[in-house]
Amino acid sequence: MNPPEISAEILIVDDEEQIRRLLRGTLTAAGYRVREAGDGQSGLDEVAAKPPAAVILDLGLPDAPGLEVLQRLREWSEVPVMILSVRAQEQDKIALLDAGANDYLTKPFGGGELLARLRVLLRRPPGPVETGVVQFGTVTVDMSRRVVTKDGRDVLLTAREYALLRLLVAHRNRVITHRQILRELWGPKSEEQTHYVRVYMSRLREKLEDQPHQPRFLVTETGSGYRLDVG
Amino acid sequence: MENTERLRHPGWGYLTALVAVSAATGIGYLIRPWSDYWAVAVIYLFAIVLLGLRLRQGPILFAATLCALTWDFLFFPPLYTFVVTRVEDWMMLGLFFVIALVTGRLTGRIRAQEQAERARAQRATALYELTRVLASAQSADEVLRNAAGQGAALFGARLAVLTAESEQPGRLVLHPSAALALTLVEQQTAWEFFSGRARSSRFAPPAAAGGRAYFTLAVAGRVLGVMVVQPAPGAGLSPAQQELLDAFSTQIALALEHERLRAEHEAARVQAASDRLHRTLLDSVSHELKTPLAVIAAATESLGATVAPADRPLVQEIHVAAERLRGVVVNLLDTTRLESGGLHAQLDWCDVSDLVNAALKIVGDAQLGRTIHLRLPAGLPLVRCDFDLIQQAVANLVHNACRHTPAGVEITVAAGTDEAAGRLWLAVADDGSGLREEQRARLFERFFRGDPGRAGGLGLGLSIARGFAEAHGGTLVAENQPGGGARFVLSLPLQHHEQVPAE
Repeated sequence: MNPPEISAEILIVDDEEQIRRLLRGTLTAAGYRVREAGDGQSGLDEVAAKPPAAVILDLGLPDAPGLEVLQRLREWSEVPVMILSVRAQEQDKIALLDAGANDYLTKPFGGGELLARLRVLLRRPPGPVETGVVQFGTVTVDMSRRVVTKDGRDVLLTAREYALLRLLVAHRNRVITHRQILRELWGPKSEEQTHYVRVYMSRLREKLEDQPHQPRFLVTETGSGYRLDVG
Repeated sequence: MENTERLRHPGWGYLTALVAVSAATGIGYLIRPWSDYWAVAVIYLFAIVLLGLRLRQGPILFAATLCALTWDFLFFPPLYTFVVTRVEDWMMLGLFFVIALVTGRLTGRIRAQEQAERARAQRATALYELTRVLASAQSADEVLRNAAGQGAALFGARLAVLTAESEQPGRLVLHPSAALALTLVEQQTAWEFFSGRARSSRFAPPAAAGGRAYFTLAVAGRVLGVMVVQPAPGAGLSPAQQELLDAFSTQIALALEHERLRAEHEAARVQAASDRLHRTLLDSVSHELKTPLAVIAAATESLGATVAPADRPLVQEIHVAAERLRGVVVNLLDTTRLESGGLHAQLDWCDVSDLVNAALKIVGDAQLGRTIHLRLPAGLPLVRCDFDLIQQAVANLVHNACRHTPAGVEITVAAGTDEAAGRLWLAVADDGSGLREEQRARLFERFFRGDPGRAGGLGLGLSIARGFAEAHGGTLVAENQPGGGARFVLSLPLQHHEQVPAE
């Protein structure tokens, strides 16, 4: 775990005074600097004035739906965004992640979970690993030689299984949505065929996880996609 | 006028001819002393022309014959004989018939044209009237009442309309506007005509004189009902009237269809408005309840690390209470969703182990130290369901098992397929004391609590789980295992997804 970048600035966009106070307490205690905005428009203004390190955006804003604020923000800014919501509906999550949200937290949430997710968000995007070696558990992925081993033994992956693994490695520790995976591996016409991803994911788990039904590394992000958890 | 002439006795024309020829003969006698017998012939010709304007072919020829005979006999030298010698006289006699035939033919043609014109006008007026009253009708009832009124006013026919109603399958409902009583046999005939067994076209003519005709009420190939027509007494239905009634039936069918669509649209609009209201209410209620809970949960978590060790149990108490309250809120909201019928399963392909893992994550601390085993065979197929709903259903089952068994009990979550029944099942079993018979019967009732003496729970978890299963066309049953302990089995329809493209 990397220590949080001390004095990284977080912008909280939430209309609930109490939630803002709580987040401010949790975040300042963890060493972050905090700015606040009470509605979508002033949130956008804050980002425009001085881009923060990350934005925590509540969905239930008084002036505009969170999805709209996010879409407007994404027109000109790549700042990492974590969505905060009371709704846990799968469709909402997918829509938000596809619109460019980086993570999604459902209320009520614990402070520890928030900080952990924020740390991942603030990490620099994973660099290219085309030539590198990535390791998780007893699995080693050697990108340059296209060789995957588990417990020192070679694992045979089909071309598409390997493509899926490589995609997860490229986005390691971050959520990658079903739609992104489908587009990358099967082309834009297959974006609705979610069963392709699930079938391939379970094959990958069978080959790489110790307990395929309780995966440690190839994690399902409920309602949004998958994440390769390499710590 | 046409109608009245048609109704007159057929001898009427001949009588008119006789009277007219007698009158011409009388005038001939009056002018004979001052004129030639040819002048009388002109008077006869004039009479024939006049008659030709009013009479049909038969009476005209009769009149021409009569004229020829009386002229020859009474005015023609030699008098009182039928002898004709001069060529001109023969020509005049021939002319009588030629004129009679020509004027008769001409008049006939004009009259036919006039009749057709009048029928056309009548039809157009009738249709216009019908469309006008139908357009202003506010309801299907009014449409049918207006149609019946128009039928009676335009050609003395009486109408009855029978419609197929979705609430009463297998029969037709006689509309109260009917100006016609139908016997059971006739209603049966109408039903057979409607259902297509006794129908070769859109129209069935009267089976006997004075009988009734049947028309279908159809729009775009869909038959909505039957119109029964009783023609005016003593008259059948002319082809023109049939055509008109057919147009009537189309108009009525259109109006009925329009009415049906309007009702459907209205129902959909009301449903959408109620859904919207409901959604807004649920959203704001869950927001208002969950936000303070989030604050409490997060605050206790932060506090936990900083307070003095002696106070930690207190903080933990607050945390557990907040979690429990959250569970209650979720259950109440889920129940409301089920109750309101606003629950639409968003189906997608789901991995069973993902579902189970997500459910166990929801249960979290509430498993209170019970051991949970997973028995998920390799190669389970994907199941098509709403991930949110089924994970909540499984979580409720696990939660229920944890709460209603003594500490130390082992809980097993298993899954499998029953290809023969086309089902995928998910089971939550415990090795506790099992279910009592009287419990088992009421287990899935809302607010039923297995052990009212014990604190905790609203008694909603299982009814919600069953509701969610049923929203997928699935089932949830409770049973006692042969080896002891209770077992809840959630079954979902097993579907097979399309083949994943080969590499």
